[in-house]
Amino acid sequence: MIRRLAPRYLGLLVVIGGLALLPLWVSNPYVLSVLTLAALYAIFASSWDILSGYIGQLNFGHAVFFGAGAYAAGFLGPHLPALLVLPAGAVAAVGFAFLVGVPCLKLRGPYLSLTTLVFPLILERLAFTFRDVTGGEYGITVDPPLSAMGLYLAALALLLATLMVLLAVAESRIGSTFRAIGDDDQAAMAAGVNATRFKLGAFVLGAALAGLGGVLYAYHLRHVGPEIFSLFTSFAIVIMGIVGGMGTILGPALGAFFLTLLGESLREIETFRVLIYSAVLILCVMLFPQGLWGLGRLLSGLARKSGMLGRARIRSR
Amino acid sequence: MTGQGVKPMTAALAVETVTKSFRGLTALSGVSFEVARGEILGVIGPNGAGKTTLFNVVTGFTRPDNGRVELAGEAITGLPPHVIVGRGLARTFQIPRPFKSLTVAEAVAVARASKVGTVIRALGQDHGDMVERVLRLVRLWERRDEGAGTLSQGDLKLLEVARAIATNPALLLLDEPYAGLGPAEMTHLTRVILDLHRAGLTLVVIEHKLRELMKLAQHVVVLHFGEKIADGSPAEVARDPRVLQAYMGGRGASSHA
Repeated sequence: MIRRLAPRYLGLLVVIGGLALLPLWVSNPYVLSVLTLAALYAIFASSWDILSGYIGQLNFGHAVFFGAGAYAAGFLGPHLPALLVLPAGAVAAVGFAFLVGVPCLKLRGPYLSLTTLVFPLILERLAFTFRDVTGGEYGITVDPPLSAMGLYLAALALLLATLMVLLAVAESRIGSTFRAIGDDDQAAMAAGVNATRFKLGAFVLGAALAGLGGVLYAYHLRHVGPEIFSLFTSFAIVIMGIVGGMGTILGPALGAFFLTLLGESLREIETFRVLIYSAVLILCVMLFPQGLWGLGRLLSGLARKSGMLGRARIRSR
Repeated sequence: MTGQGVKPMTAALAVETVTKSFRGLTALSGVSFEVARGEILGVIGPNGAGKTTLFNVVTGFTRPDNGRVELAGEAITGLPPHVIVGRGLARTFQIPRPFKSLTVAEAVAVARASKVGTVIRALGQDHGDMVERVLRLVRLWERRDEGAGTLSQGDLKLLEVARAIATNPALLLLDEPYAGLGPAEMTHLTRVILDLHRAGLTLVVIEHKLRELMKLAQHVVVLHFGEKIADGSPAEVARDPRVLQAYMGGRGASSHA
């Protein structure tokens, strides 16, 4: 497994290390801010992938988990040292993973997806209702314990850790069990697999990582409000996952960077922003049904084949 | 044979008056039979006789309306499938259900081995891990890195058997294992089944290919329109007028006339 993962780990270290060194040359705070946001979205999209891409249970409510982390930062930030707020965010998210996961696990396919869609909407309403605690539509102001630069590096470090953990899980026997359940959960049960427990495990793992990211997200925005639970936020994650390539962990992270940077680069032409963004999305899905990551693998596969190097592998990861 | 001396008469599997209907259509009606420890039981019957429903009830995929299933003397009725696998009862599916996004080796490695089975002991510890031993047994080791979904129909059937025996069962239910196999594959599968049987595995086999089944089974149960119409040795069953009538066509003497 280590040997199989080594090239991807190495690539990750190079790319994320390069991003970490970028401020040495680029001092524009706006660029730093956009890249921080992209890294956080990459954490959300890759942690979404372990349930949605591997088990194939499309989760439209991932915002519940990073929203829980963000609100944990809002509630606890003033009272706890920053290093304790992070695990608190993860714990809050895991709590919601059980809350959402247990009733949803009996459901399959579209029913699970529709149910997950409802949970962020409930939380959005609750944030409005309990305005004494949540600040209602104004939300809570969050005082970040880190400078913008510190936050950027923290987001990259968390992204690196997230991707390494998720890849290790995905390439282990647990990961093949996730895929087996996604392929045919009845056949998995016939092989002695407790499918319910694995689904809940994927929920919890994805939620914990998203919750950690959510804390940094609140620090980055210096604010947390009910809009974090909006449909748009959850759909944005799903789109990043699909465009990047589901079931690959690295693909959704790539999709998050691509779409965040695309969205920002279109800000100057505000009038056509949504139009161009949507057109690019449609083109991506039509031209690269396996996602950007699938496209990358295809190209490297072609290059390898033409170079007659290495043995072809079966899986289109 | 540890722990088996306590109740020597306990059947490996006992099905008691199991009834199951789907929207008023009776798939199984009061079916009872026993599988003795160490035997190979054949289950035959025309299409729609309820054979697969019987497997689904026994393995926990379908809850019966009525009746009881006991595995080695313990009730398993209504338990979830993976728990029943953990108690040493495994099955294959009539139409192979491979894990398409896994390789052959990964698909077998997904199986969770029970602690009560006879297969791991039978395969010995001479070389390789469990996955390798199982795949060598069904002759799929050479294909271990191929996608499970890319195998030929015959290999898919063998993979189905491999995944089931990797759960280390004491009792294995095979649903039409020979369908789609070529003659050489059939001969090989028969040898695999007999080897596992000799090492202590109890088997229940649904099969249309009666010639193959008669090579294996010491005991045959015949289902027809959800009812058991015969139960005995292959020779007895083959002479039974109700069985002949069922196979000659027509609804004959049984219900639903």
